[in-house]
This record gives sequence, structure tokens and C-alpha cells, in this order.
Amino acid sequence: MARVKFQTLTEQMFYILLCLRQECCGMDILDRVPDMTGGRVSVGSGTLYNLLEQFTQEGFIRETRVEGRKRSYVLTDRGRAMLDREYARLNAQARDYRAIFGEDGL
Amino acid sequence: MKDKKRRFEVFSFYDRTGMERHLERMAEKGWMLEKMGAFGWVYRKIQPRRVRFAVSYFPSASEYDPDMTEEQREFQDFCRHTGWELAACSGQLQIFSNVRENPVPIETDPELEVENLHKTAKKSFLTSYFVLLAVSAMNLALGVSSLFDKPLELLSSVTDMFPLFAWGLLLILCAGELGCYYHWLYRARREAREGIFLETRGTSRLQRWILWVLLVGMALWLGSFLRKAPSMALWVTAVIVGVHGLIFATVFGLKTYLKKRKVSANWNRALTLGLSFVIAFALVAGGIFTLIHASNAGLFEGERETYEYRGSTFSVYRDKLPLTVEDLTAVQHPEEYNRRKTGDESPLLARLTMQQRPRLDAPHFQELPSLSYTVTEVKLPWLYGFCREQLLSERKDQVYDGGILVDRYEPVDPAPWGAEEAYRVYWSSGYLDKYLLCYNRTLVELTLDWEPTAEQMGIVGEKLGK
Repeated sequence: MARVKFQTLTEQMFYILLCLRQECCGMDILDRVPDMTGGRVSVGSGTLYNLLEQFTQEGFIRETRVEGRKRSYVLTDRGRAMLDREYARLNAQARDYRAIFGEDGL
Repeated sequence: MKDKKRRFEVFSFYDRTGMERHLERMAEKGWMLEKMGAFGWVYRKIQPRRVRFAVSYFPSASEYDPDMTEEQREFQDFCRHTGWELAACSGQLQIFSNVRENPVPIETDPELEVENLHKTAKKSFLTSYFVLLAVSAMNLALGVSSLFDKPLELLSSVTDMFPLFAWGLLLILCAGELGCYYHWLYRARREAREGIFLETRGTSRLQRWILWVLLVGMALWLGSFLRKAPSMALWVTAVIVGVHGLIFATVFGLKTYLKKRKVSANWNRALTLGLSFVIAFALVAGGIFTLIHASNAGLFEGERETYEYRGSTFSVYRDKLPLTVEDLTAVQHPEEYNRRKTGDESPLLARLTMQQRPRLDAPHFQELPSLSYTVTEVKLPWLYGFCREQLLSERKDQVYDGGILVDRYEPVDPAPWGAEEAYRVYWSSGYLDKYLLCYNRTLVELTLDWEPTAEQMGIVGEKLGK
């Protein structure tokens, strides 16, 4: 069954929104996500372009500046709420894991 | 040595895997994609090396856009930032290359990638293919209905069968392309939910196969013209090539001209499609009209001998016939006869009608014997039964108010004819001198104006039985 759009976030979506806590443009995000995750997560340029468009349509981010072809964005309250929901979900997962395997995962 | 080359590449619109692999192989051979256009893909010579390619789809772009849009350029800036340089683009299709060893792919989310491709496909190739599928199915249905009306005439005429054949091929192409695309889409969506990019498998082989079969069909079609009317074949070829060339030049020229004049994509599309339709209709109608008039005016027939009878002019035919009146009975003046052969031949059937009738200016022409027969040569054994049944069913009793008019083939002894089966027409209340003779590969419909002797039957079998 298809995943309901933005009911949960993929790792890439999560880190893009996280980057936009501060105003930045698309190319900054392409660099920051691998930096933030120690190279574990990278976002493809096509994927980022489409997600920025969809996030703007959903009101998770808004455009702040346009310099030539360079557009900057920042997280909105709706986007922040989405991130918080995802954070709570991940925490709940971690709690459930700990309840089974204990703090050290043993 | 040439540093550029042009190739006509055949790929399905959605076959990103096929295109990427092909371009990687080309780069390893020292050819880098530079341009994609209506006249093929252009490659430039490079040092052979490993280059990665990525095919990307930009749904809002259009082949009618006067320039690349700002959004498209922004997208390309993103790609350039990760090492992906635009190699070539055509409408919504963009092909990027990257010389880095392990570049971050352009698409890293399979679900997004599949939906983006499908969004692009809905705006471009799916609509065209569904329209073509409907048009070809409609034309094929019309052709098949004529197969029920006059099957033997249709099956023996390459000219009549070719359009049916071409529409059939188009139907296979569209159905194959759409079927493969939706099959891939279904599986790709399922795999994407598991985080997997599913490779595409296009229909390049099917498309190439169809192209070759179509060319062979066209060659046979023109060959059949060459046999019947060589000058007409040349004219038909010239008209086909000319009309298609003009249509293509008009569509392509107008679209390019409007793009150069910076006309918006919507206006360009509307004007190009509208004018193309009008021009295509006018050119095809004009071409057919010219051919019909030229044919009626006798342009393709050359000089024909004629004779005058009671103020009217009649043609003289001296075709060579396999069976003549002279073979069957004593004829004092064979020159008093017209001998005419008409009909057609295809790889399935040959159906030729031969007539030998006295000329109207012959003395006492009403008293001279005449002969006519149609020989159907069945080239594929599995068609024989169908053809035999078809001919037998052509004579049917007719029911009218208060009675039945008998009209049927009655079996008669085939031995004197040297045939496997023989039938004679029983009409109203007696036999006519009309026969259907079934030989191993041929079916003969024979009409005489006298009742043949056993010896004459034997001669017919000897001359026409195969």
C-alpha cells in the first residue's frame, strides 16, 4: 500500500527540513545534509528540487529570497510541527526498542 | 577522422536505464552525447573513458518552450553542484553526465522518482500513445470488416492489405509500449516503497523489429505496383516521399520558427498542431486526388491499341492466358478475340481473372465461343480451406416473397477435370456452365458458354490444375 504523503518523513525529508531551521538555499542543503550526518545521508539534486517544491506547496517551508536563480527557504511553523511529530515518532520507536533490549541494547 | 557522429537511437520514453547504459558504452568507445534532435542524436569524439549518465525528467518543460525555463536552469544548477553536467536535453528529457568516481545520484528517493517520471509521461507520451492506439484500433477494425466482405480480394491485394498491416503494426507498437510502461510502473511503485529503484526495460527491440517489418511491407507494396504499373509505382513512391517530407518539414520548420520568434509554448503547440493537421490533410488529399486523376487520364498505362465499333472506341487486350478458347475448341480466327488478364497477387494469395471474349467488330461475334475463369492460387496451405469455403458460400439460395431462388454449387464428378473436388452451379431449375474446381493449391471458378466434353475437362485440368 502506498505511503500517505508526509504522514511520516523519510530520512532525506527529515534532514532537509532540519537544515532549514536556518535560512539557506538548495545548494547549501546539498552540502549540509552529508556534513550533518557524517556522510551517512546524501540528497540527490533531483530529489531535493522536487522536495523543495512539495514542501513549499504543503507550507512546511517558505521562500525568503531570490537572487538570480538562487532561491532561499526557511522552515515554517507548520514545517516545525511536522518535524516535531517525526521527532516524537522516532523517540517513541527508540523507547520501544529500549523497553525490549534495555538501555545498552543488549 | 570525423569528430562528430549522428545516430538514430530508438528508446522508449521512460527507458532511463537503457539510455544511461547505452551512453556509458558510447563514452567508453570515445563518443560523448552532445545533442538530441529530430534528426537523431549527435555525439562528439572524446578520449574513451568511464562517464556516468543520468536521465532525468522535468514535467513542466515542453519541446515547444522557446528557451529553457528558469526552473529548468535552477534544477541544472543543483545538478552541476553535485558534478552532473547537462549533456543534452529534448523537451522534458534531460541527460546529465558525471565524471566523478562515485557521484551522489540525481535521484535518491525512488518513490519521488517514479511519481515524477509518471507525471512527465502523463503530460507527453502517454496521451500520444493512447490517441494512436485508438486511431490504429479503429482503422484496423474497419480493415477487418472489409476482410469479411471480400476476403479473397483483400488477401490477394498487397495494396489493400498494406494499410491494414501498417495499422496492425502501429497497434502492436502502441499496445506494447503502453503495456510495458504500465507493467514497469506497477512494479516500480511496489519496489520504490521498499526503497529500491527498479531498472526500466523499454521496447527498443520491438520498435526496431516493427520498423524493419514495415519497411519490408512497404517494399512488397511498391513491388506489387512495379509489377502492375512501373510508372505508377514511381509516382506513388514520389508522392509518398514528397507528402511525408513536406509534412515533416512543415511541422518541424514551423515549430522551430515559432521557438526562434519566442512564441509561448502554448501558442506554438496550438499553431503547430492546428496547421500541421490542415497541411497534412491538404497534402494527403491533394496527393491522392492527383494520383487518381493521373490514373484515370491513362498517364500510367502508356499507349493502348484500340478499335472502333459503331462509333465507340474499345481497347484491344492481348494478354497471355494459361487456358484459351483455342485450347478447347477449333477457332478459325484467333485474332478476333480480346484476351485480358486482371487481378492481384500477395504473399498469401494470387487471384487472377482471365477473360477471352470475341471482339465486337468480329463477324457474327455473338456466335463465337467465349471463356472466363478466375484462378485463386493459395500460397499458404492453412488458408486453402478458408478460401474453398469462402468460394462455396458465395452462391446461396435466395429467399423471396413466397419462394426460394435456388443458387448453389452442387458436387459433380471431379475425375474428368483431374481435380480433387468439382462443383457445378445449379441455378433456379437447372445447371449452368459455371464450375468450381478444387486442385491441390488452386481453386478455379470457370464459366463457359457451352457444356464441356470430358476431353475439354481434361484439358482444363491439365492447363489450370496445380
